[in-house]
Amino acid sequence: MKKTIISLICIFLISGCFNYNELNDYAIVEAIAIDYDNNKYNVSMLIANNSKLEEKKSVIYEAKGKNIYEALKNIELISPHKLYLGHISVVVISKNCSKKGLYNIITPFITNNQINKDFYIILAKDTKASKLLKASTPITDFPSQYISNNIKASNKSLGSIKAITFNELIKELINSDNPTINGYTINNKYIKADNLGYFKEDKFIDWATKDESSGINLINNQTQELYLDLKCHNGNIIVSTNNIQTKLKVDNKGNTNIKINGEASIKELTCNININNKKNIKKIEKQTNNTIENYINKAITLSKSNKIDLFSIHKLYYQNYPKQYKNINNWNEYYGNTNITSNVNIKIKDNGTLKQNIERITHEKNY
Amino acid sequence: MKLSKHIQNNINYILKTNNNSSDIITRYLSKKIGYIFLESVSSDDKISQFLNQAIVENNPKTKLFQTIKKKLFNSNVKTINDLNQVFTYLANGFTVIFIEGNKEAITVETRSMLDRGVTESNVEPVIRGPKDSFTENHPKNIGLIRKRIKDDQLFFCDINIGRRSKTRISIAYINDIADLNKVNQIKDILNNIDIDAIIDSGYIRDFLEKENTLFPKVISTERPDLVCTSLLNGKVALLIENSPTVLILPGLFIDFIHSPEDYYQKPFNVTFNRLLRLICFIITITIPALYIALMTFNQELIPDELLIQLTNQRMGIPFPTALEVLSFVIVFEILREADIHTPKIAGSAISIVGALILGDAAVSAGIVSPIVIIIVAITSISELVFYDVDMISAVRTWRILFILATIFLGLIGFIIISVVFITKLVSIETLGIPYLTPITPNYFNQWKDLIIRYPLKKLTERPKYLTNNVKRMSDHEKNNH
Repeated sequence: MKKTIISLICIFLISGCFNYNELNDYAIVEAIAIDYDNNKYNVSMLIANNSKLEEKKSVIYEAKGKNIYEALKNIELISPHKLYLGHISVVVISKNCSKKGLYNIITPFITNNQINKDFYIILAKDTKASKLLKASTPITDFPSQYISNNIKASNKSLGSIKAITFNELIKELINSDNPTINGYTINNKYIKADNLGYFKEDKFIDWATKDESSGINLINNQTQELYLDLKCHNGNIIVSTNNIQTKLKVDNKGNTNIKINGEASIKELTCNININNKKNIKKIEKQTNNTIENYINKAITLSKSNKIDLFSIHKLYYQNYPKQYKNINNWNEYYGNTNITSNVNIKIKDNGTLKQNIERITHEKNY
Repeated sequence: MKLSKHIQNNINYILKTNNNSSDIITRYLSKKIGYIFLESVSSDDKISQFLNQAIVENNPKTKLFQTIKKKLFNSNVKTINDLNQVFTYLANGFTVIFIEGNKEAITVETRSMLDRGVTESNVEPVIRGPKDSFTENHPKNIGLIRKRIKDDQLFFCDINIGRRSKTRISIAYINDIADLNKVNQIKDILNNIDIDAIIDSGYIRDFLEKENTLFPKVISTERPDLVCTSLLNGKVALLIENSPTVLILPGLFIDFIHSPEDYYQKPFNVTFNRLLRLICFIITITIPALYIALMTFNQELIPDELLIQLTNQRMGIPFPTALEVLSFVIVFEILREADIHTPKIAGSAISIVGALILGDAAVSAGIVSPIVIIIVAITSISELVFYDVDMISAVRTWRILFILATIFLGLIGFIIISVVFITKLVSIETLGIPYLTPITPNYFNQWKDLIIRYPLKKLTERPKYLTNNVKRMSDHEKNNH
């Protein structure tokens, strides 16, 4: 009994509150933006304002440094509280910075044991990264919350947007995949999701267009919902897809076949077409498939012309044909000469209660 | 000391040994007959009825002793010949009659009922079910059990304890259900008690629990229905004279989660209630400790928006979180303690001070954060779910131990103290039965009435760890087929 009491006292008293920190001694960092100008990193931090009186809910600290760590330390000189990095939800990286390479940026985040590795990474397009943090956001309290909510809400439901967390990015870099990261821009004072930026290893190359972004996401199985604007003789048909599944197959020469299955439904109809007719539905299906194939082909030409394997086909090839893979010296060169074919099979399942264009129905009844 | 032949000597001796105590009344009916009683414990009506009728109306001349003893209109008449015994009888409400020339005295029971009637239980109220509760009157208490179990195997075994109080203690058990070894074990413990007085059942409970633990190992109850169900399960009850609280042995952890009301309501609703009580047990012990651990050590576990809220609330509060929580946990205990001892008239003052001033004003004065008030409120409300006062106190002590552990080590401290807590709980034993039976050691058959309560027709067996006579009822399910 004595022994247990003594050992318990030792455990509790000798430890000396090893990791004790009051919550109000912390400055809670919500988001970090990293810019690179004049050979210096410029790091800005969005901090949740924890005073009851002020109306402004967040404060931004900025500091410069030769490397990220130095910039972080310089921010601590400004901050009255200890910086708490455990709750970062978004890290914004500027174009200049990502051209310099992601490896430089990532390491301080990996080594810090406080950081939760689940935050999102985005690129700032046509603007400085720090400006994204300063942008006003409706509804939510912080730009970081806005961005992370926006990513969560639109990921997989808007074809051109891709959510990538820090963990996933590291995984892709380790696998020597070429990552794509979503860009965000400022539009009318508000933050707005934009197209993908594609990388060669850790270095930023260029922005993709919207169609290319959709194509890249489709091939990488990042999209489930995608809306398509199909032309029809005197109007439009808007089709929205769901449950899209993509499968890649590689043969021994590195030629790839992309197979896309999925369903779609008609959302809007402004042209004169009877969709009760199965022939017409088949027509729309064919149009849908063609549009999607068009997206994919655009993405493929983008990746081939730049000789960047954006779809991690090399991994697939290595898994299936490890011996042949070892004979290839430069995969990216080799990849540029392979054939990529696609096979899209989307079926229109649901058109709601809509039978044909409403305008046409009313027209018919007047007669 | 033998009785003297002369009544004058006897009466004088008694008066002298008691220093002429003011409640002793003596009367000489003639030169040959005198009687003595304590007016404090005897009923005047009974004395005049029994004695005066027998003596005055018959007015015998010869063979006084025999005629009076025969003619006394009372069912409890005894003769004694020891002068030292006289006072015990007097204190029990007997009247002692001395007759000149006889070395024996006649005692007649003229006890007055010094108690309140059978009232509703204040401490253990139920919504549905019998409302009567035990009182300070011993025969009445036995009667309350007897009228529920009309079985000839229901035994009451009496022992008197207390050098001066000579308190009557009845050990109640059902002979063919209860484990007689355990009954004998209890009898041995009781026989070995040598104490001045047993004022309340609490005195006995201390002797029944060999090792000191925080958790109660004896159920104390005012409810006769709980005593009866326990007896029928093979437990043993101790009725202590002058105490409205009856002790039931052995008390296991699960008995404090159960309530007698559980069997008066629909089974599956009761399951929810029991689950709630179990959750409350865990909440009331761990919540303040977890709060401290999360707030001061493991902030990464708090979701984003909650963290910002909490930081805002903590802003400007001068004390560390631990002190904040600890002081308010203690403030609540002070309120509770004060509330128990205040008369009902002053009760509203306490609640105003407690609820308004301490809660609201402390927050607006910036001494505590609102979330701490919520935490303490949840903790203390969960604590009051239990009937047993000892259980509440045990839970309170452990809660403070948990808080202390997390103050130093955060979640790691929480885990360490949890291990200690569970080890402690598992290693308790009452009368040879581990405290957490039937969970561990596992009696799977008993799980039908553990947290989930099956309908009564499916509970065909008594607990195996309490009795060897297991069958409680015929199998209704099988009989129907």
